[in-house]
Amino acid sequence: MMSPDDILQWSIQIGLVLLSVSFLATVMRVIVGPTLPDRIIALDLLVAAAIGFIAILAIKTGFTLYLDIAIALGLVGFLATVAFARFVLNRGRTEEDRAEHRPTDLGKSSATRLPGEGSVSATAQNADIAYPIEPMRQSDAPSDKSGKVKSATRRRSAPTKRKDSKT
Amino acid sequence: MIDDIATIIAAILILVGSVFSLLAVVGLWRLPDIYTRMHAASKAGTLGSGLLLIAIAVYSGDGPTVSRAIAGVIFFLLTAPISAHLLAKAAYAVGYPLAKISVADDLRDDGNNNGA
Repeated sequence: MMSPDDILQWSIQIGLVLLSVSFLATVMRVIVGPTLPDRIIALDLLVAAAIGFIAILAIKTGFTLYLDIAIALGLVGFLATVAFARFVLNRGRTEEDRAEHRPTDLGKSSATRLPGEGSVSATAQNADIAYPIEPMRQSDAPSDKSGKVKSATRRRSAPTKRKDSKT
Repeated sequence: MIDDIATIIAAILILVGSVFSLLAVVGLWRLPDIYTRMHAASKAGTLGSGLLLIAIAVYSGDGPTVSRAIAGVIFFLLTAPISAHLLAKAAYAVGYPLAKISVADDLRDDGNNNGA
């Protein structure tokens, strides 16, 4: 018959093993990606796994002061995720957009960009994607042609500053 | 006697919490796109770390530790949906695509919200 302390030690060992496996798999997801939001979600989950580690170690060692560290880490993880979300929004384009438009379209007019715009939509429909990639689609005009022009100009207006600072 | 029961409950909470953390990572690897992975990461991950914090509260049983553990759990339960929602909204506004097997997209503006 095991004593309750033995059961607790066993469950602590098993919990540490499970958390280590999940930690490593999450780190692999951070490395693999493939997109930036995937990596951000994985980092968020990494913070949760670290909090779990701290909680188990607090039980194992008896230092309940570790709980404050867990709360502070949760605050930092929340703020980091919010800041990353703002970064995704400000960056304004997906990885496929970057592959399509970089860096030949720097400083070109909207007329020369429009065929590129169409090719993005065509590849998007052929690939494993549910709708054509167009940033800020919520306020696009219903008519097809004007919607494309509007989205093209909007896409140029938002990230232009970043591109100018790059060149 | 009451200490033994608290210790066994803490052991069960540790096991269940770490299993939920592992399930969150399984969801992160198995689900097809960003928006579904966000469900696994934010819900199961928060539940896992929250159960582990409750395990400390049950195991130690003194007032300051219990109150801090409960405060931490409430904090995580409040902040995890906010960060996941912000990230999903930012990803959708930028134009990250849904998986092809998605059946509904209520944020589409052309009236066709039955997927592709």
